[in-house]
Amino acid sequence: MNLKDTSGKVHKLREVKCPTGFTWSNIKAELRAIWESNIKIWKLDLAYPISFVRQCISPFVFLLPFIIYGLAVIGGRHSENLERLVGTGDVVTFVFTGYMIIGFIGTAVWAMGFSIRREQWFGTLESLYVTPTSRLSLVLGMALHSTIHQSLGTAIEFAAIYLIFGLALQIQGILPALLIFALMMLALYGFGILVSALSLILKEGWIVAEGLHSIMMILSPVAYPLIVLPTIAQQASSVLPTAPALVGMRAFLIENYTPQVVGNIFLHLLALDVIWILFGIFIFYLTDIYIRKTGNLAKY
Amino acid sequence: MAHREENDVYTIQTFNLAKRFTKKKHKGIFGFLRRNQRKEKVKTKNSDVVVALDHVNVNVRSSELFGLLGPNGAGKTTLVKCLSTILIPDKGTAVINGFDILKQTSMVRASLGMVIGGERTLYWKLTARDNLMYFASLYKMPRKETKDRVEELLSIMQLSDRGDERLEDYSTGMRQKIAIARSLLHDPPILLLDEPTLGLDPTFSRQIRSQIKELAEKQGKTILLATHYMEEADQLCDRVAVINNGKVIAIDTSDNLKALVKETELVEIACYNPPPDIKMHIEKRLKDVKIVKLIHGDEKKGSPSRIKLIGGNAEKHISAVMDMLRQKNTRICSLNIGAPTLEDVFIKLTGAKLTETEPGELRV
Repeated sequence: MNLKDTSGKVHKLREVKCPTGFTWSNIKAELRAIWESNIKIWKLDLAYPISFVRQCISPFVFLLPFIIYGLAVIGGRHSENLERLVGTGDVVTFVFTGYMIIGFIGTAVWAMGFSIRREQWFGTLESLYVTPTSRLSLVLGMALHSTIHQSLGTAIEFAAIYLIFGLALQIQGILPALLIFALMMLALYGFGILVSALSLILKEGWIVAEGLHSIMMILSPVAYPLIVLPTIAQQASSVLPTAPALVGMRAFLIENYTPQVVGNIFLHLLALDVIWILFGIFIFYLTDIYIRKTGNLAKY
Repeated sequence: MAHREENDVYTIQTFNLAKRFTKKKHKGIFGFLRRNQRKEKVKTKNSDVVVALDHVNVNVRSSELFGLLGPNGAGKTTLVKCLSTILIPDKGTAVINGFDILKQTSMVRASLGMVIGGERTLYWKLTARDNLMYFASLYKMPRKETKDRVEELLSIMQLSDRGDERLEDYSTGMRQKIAIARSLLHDPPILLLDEPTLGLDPTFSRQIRSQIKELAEKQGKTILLATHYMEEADQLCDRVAVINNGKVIAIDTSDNLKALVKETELVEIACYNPPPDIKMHIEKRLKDVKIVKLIHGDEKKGSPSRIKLIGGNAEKHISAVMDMLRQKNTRICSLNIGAPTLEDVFIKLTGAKLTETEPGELRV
């Protein structure tokens, strides 16, 4: 970059080394920023050991009531009514396969949703925003961290539940179920990006997050089959990735599971991925412009 | 004062930058119950808008240390935030290192290092090294260069041996040094420093100022220093823009700005036995000195008489006056020079006081 002075003489400005645009070096730099953001969050989490221990224990605390309640009401782990509805009567396996995704709903709504707001609470948001890294990478850093965190937690839960109760799973269904899970996560990331934008504008975004989390919990067939919901709720659940993903994952994972709607689950999830990601990014950039216009960035 | 080679290449240029903020009125929980609420809103409609920047035009030369001086709320931080792209101006634009702040935001950010006011701009639960390593990745520095650069900056800041301590164990001054180190990670040509010595004790303030000066003089960085400490602007900056209520009201070198208020320059000579006609002699010989006063002291009780010269480059005439006094065998016991300050400039230009001065010494 050159500049002319008032006498017309050309001066070379200091070259700035910073990859930009859609180049491989820039993509690499953004990916590194995402990774380093993830590492930073791990370090911050581990700086509060008691909170970290709580995070490790709480998934069990939330899961056990689901299972114990089911066992108590049914009087064992086999439910004939459940078998009539979905083909399998094993309540423990059914509930656990649903429960596995709850933590990932939290990834989108709470972790990603509050990634930017958290930096605002720390006081570091403006320092991050003056760097050339995309703001989206900061949210994705949290997404990566939370996904790893939840995956580790889910793996431990899986091992514990498997040892205590035993799970009737089809091993050959794990890979296709993981593929469905990955497609669900992409859509949830889009959703998380959207919530992160909303939490910056609304400030008390936790109310929105709480509301969205509750709606997702009702519309996602975590502890009951989708078919028990009213028709209108079943239709509404189709805009969320968790409902079709759970139906699809159970179809591959649970023995004798005969879901009503499996057909085009991959296409359904792919469509939701595109919609949620594009919509999330669109709102995120609109919000970015809005808060930079109004000066809300520095306001708590 | 640093005098670098002057040129007319501007690495920071603003073009009619304007920014207004609308303040929401908080009426309390039961505000909606108030009578005449609507009426009140209409009445005070205009007072809700705060003009933060009023068509600001500033040109900062390459390698210049440029001061932005004004009281709290004058618009300094708003200007710095607009330049760093974290605020979008309502009108106008700016060019940083040849890049437009509205269109080339990534390149603008890559060209800048910024020290933002406030203590919590770093992660207190991380070590200084971890903080710098993390921000290096956000400045897209190659991984290979990062470690060496971080060590180099810790060494410059004299914090190498404390690099593995969490920032929560650092003093405010040490944290500010890490904030400056962070702004230098990617070796940017331009630095925006917003109140970098705010809240620091005199020792750290001196160290930070000396580093700022060195960055401009030895590394040729263009520095925009926003401050409300007039001594800081006076001692460090090549040129100073005085800003008030969002308007830049003067831009010049510190000396030229102070020349606007030469009438306040004061020289006071304390002496014993001044000749009674000394006032007349001085007035006759130094015609540009505006006021000459002779105040007789109670010399027998040890209180000397005082001769006061006010205005008209009084400082330049000190030696002439001293010679006159010596010729008349007057015993001189002290000499005080009260030069005009940027505060005087500010008062003259705005009619308001700039700010309270920082406690402690300010020498660089």
